[in-house]
Amino acid sequence: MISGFAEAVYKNYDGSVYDLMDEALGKALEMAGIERKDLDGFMTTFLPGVFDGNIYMHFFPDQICGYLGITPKYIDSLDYGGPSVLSALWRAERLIKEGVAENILLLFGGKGSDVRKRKQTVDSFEKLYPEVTNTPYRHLINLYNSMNPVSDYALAAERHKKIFGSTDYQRAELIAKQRKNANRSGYAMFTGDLSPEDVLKSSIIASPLHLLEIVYPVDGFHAFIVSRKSGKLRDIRVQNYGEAHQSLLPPEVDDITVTPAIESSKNFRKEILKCDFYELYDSFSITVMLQLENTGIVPKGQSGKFIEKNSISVDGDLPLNTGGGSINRGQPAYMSGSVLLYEALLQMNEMASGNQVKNARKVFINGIGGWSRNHSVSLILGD
Amino acid sequence: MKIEDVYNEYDRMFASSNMPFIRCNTCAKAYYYPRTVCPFCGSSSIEIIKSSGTGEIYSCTEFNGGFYGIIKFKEGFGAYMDIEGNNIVTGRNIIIKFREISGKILPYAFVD
Ligand SMILES: [Zn+2]
Repeated sequence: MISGFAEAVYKNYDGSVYDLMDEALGKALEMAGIERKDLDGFMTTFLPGVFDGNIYMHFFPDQICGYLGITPKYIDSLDYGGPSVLSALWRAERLIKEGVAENILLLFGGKGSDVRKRKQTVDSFEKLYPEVTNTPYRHLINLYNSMNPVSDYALAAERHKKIFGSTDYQRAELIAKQRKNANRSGYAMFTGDLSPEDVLKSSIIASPLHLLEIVYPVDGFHAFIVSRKSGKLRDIRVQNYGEAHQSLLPPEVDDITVTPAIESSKNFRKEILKCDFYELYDSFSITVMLQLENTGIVPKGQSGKFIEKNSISVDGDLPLNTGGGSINRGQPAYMSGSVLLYEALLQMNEMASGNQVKNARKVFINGIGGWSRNHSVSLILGD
Repeated sequence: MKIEDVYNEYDRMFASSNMPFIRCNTCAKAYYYPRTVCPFCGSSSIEIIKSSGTGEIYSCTEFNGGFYGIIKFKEGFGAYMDIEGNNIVTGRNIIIKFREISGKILPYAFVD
């Protein structure tokens, strides 16, 4: 059960990554009503460049625990990007049930601006270090125009258009609708009127994807404390869980509009349809569309039409990315999983103020990770 | 076979303007990105052979001032490639050409 959760998110944070994580942790501890010495488990992730620009850190979790003053009985680092934090939650609940630890801290984030300002992503950060190769496929991948999540998701969007006839306007509508949710949420970074036409007027970064369909990397940490007791918070836990990983490269699969979300969600499709609201990974507009289809919420190929016809607001027919998503919150350190989980917890604890889903009893969260959609985590949180 | 042997053979074939790929002798599937064990069935009975160097654009994007995409080759394997030529759109046929990219001779896709 989660006893405390907090975020510390900035467009550009001036201080060190250590100050930033300390801020998120301090707030989460306060909510949980416990002290640092009560934390006996630690789960995190490391992505190149987001820890004050370091490409690598030696014995990373130990260094962080040492700095924060935590002496854990259990340490874990999950390195599959965006959905890692969702897996950490499920694992932490099980570890606590097994009696391995009492209060496990999940600390996820970093300074995305350190990478963004050098015009790289965490996936291309190696370009700053010519002696480093991040894949076994070396020059067969990294010497081409670009091996980059933006161009790769653009290929998925282009294929979806070609095969299913989805349109640029449909993707732009999703973005405009998420912005409406952001305007009501009270804590989004990007707010204000935004029409589908505005989205289509923004520059094309990798065709067919426009600037405003692409998440913006920011600085931030989320801290979630998973405990034996939920304290002041509602007693909710993971009801259904699935994770799936696939290791082929996109050129090696038959259909790039298929993600491991099909596999990670397959054991509880009926339960997914019964949820009160939905938080789907929104690194790009197309990411949300692929998950709508791959988790059985919408038939294959129909996500574009679905977005056209349906409201995704909290009082609409499918409340989706109710806080505006990471497209509007900003993506802390190139990972959106914590943004989804944070919003879900606000809703489930009736703390979403301006944008509260009525009777939020069950939420479906889906995370997608890796630059080429190789990882998916699906879960339902509820009583 | 070791991974370095695969890269050496690929480089030799690139230098003579041939497009290599790997065929698994067990499951008959084709793939391009070097592994000494077939990613589809786990067999280590593989061979490097010469592709026709023709195929079609499975998906493409204009990015960083150039075109880039996934090419599906006639022999059934797929690869990321830079794409050059006229009227570059998904579904068009391509042929493979070669050029030096950052000191390495590498294939790229060309639309006639
Ligand atoms: Zn095989």
